Amino acid sequence: MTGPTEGERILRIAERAAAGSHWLDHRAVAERLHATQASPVHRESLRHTAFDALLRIFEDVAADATIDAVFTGIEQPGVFCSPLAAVDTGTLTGHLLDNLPEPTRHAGADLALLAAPSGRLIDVSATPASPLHIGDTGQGAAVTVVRVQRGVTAELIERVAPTGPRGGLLIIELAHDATLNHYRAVAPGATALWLGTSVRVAKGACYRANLIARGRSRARLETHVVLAEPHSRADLTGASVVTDGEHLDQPVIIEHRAPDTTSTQRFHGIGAGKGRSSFNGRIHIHAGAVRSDAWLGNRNLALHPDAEINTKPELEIYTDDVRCAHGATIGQLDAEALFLMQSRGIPEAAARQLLAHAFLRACIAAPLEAAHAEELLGALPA
Amino acid sequence: MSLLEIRSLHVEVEGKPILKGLDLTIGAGEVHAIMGPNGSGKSTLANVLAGRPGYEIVSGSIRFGDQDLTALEPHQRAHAGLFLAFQYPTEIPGVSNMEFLKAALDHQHAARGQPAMNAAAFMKQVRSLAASLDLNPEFLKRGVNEGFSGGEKKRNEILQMLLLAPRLAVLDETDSGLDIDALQTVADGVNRFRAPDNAVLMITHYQRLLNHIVPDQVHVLAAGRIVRSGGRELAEMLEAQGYGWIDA
Ligand SMILES: Nc1ncnc2c1ncn2[C@@H]1O[C@H](COP(=O)(O)OP(=O)(O)OP(=O)(O)O)[C@@H](O)[C@H]1O
Ligand SMILES: [Mg+2]
Repeated sequence: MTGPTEGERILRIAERAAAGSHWLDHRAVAERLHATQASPVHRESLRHTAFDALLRIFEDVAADATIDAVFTGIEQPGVFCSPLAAVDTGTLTGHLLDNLPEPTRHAGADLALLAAPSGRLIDVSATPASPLHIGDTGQGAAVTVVRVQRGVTAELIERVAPTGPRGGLLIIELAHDATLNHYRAVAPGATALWLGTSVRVAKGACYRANLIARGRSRARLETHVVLAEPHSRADLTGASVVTDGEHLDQPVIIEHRAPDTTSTQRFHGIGAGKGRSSFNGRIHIHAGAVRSDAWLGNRNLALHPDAEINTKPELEIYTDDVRCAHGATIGQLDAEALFLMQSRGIPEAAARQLLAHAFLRACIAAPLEAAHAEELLGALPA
Repeated sequence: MSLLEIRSLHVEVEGKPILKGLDLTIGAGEVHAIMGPNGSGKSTLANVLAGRPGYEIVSGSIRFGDQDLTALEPHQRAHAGLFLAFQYPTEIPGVSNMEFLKAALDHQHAARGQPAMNAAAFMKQVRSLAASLDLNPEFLKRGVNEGFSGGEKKRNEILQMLLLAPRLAVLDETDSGLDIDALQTVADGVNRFRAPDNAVLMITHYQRLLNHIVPDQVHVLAAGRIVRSGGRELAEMLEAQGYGWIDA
């Protein structure tokens, strides 16, 4: 007996969502997604989360799309929130697709667009007095577009609750000289999760993100930043813990498309149990993006003998005049540091905890520390 | 009763014999100095006392007070009152000095059934110790030894010793790399520490330290054994003649 083909499954996801609303030209998205299927890049980009697994996430999501958006901080001057359905469908579809770069690497984003019953636009036209909070309850797929206007600085705190399954696509557009500080905490949970963050950074604008996560039964968290214009920059940090039975796949793509652009990535991960985690940091410096400066550091600690950790920096550089440095390591706790602590009376288990905490906290920013650090730290071996 | 009693200690590192029948007895209230050529096994002795993994005791015994030291885990040795100031203190980025010191002290107090020190009293004590050792209080917020100069690391070891108040402090070349003023500061710290119920074992290459901290006994360690013990005059002789006479 053979099941439905991948193409049929894609169409079914689209039909189910489209039955509920007509906010998007689903056919155009489905066609684009279908067209990428044969690409080897598409397969390679799904090395740690098979396309079949991705389809299953969105089949679950589309089957019971009862997602509710929870926003706080949007009722303040300078912030305007509206449903994407209010935007003309054709214009919107074109705009969304154009803003998801490299479609062959974006199967998840396309599926999220297909599965989402609706979306919303948050437009920030003046620097808000307090942070914007976004979160979702229920399960399903959501598409959120955050647009930060020229010269505006905003803070976005995103909370991904433990319930699901869910698929969320966050599209961020930073205009000239805009700054967004984006904090995201992914709670542990038994269900599958796909999250995509796609950022376009215009001239002189700056995107800063601190992304912390626990694994799920299956989790793929994609981040894609396009430094589209000169003097744009992105600074990404993140911390994650994967424990027994958990999976976490974090591909990060930074594209330097213009001269004088800067990016940094510092991600720390701990394999705390029998689980699987992977981090793929990809730096793509396009032709003409001279004086690009890119740095990537991914450090991992295997604290459990059966922790499976993959890390693979990928560099694609088409310009000579660039600075690019990267390092990826998988290691153990520093034996010398452990012994120093023990020799001062700290038992080995406590010393291990202190070192592992320090390792994670180095990549957890203050706004997430108080409320969410424990979701990571608490998963470490006692 | 002696505080530390080492009998006929044989130790191997990676299968290579380093200590070859070492005897040493230290009583409460005493200060002992060990001198000896590079590679003679001085740090090996210090590490064996502290219980560093990889140092295998092939035979012999180490008694600390009324306990068999070799039966204790490294942290239990600290709880029992042993302290080692490292020749090369390790850096622990990300774990602040304050956090590290508090954890160490809390565990030691708990192990001895003493109440934990409250945070304010702890901070006050650590700050005053830092001041007495000419360590900028800003160091306390930094990672343990992170970016410290050689001399600052050594002073930080003495700070830990004074805070933890051990029964036996083993100082492995704490004087190396210190300028004249820092040497005086560190020596003052050790002299303040000296008391009738504790003891100090100093490993050093230089007689000048012994001008500041006057030892009760000086031992010469060569090729894994104590080959000569005496008073301060032994250190002066070494300074004048080197170690060439030992083989004779
Ligand atoms: N971890 C180790 N692995 C291999 N060899 C070791 C190790 N530790 C010590 N040794 C060897 O044991 C011998 C004694 O070393 P130790 O560090 O005890 O000497 P030391 O007397 O402290 O010398 P120094 O005056 O240079 O500090 C040396 O030959 C050294 O190479
Ligand atoms: Mg030595």
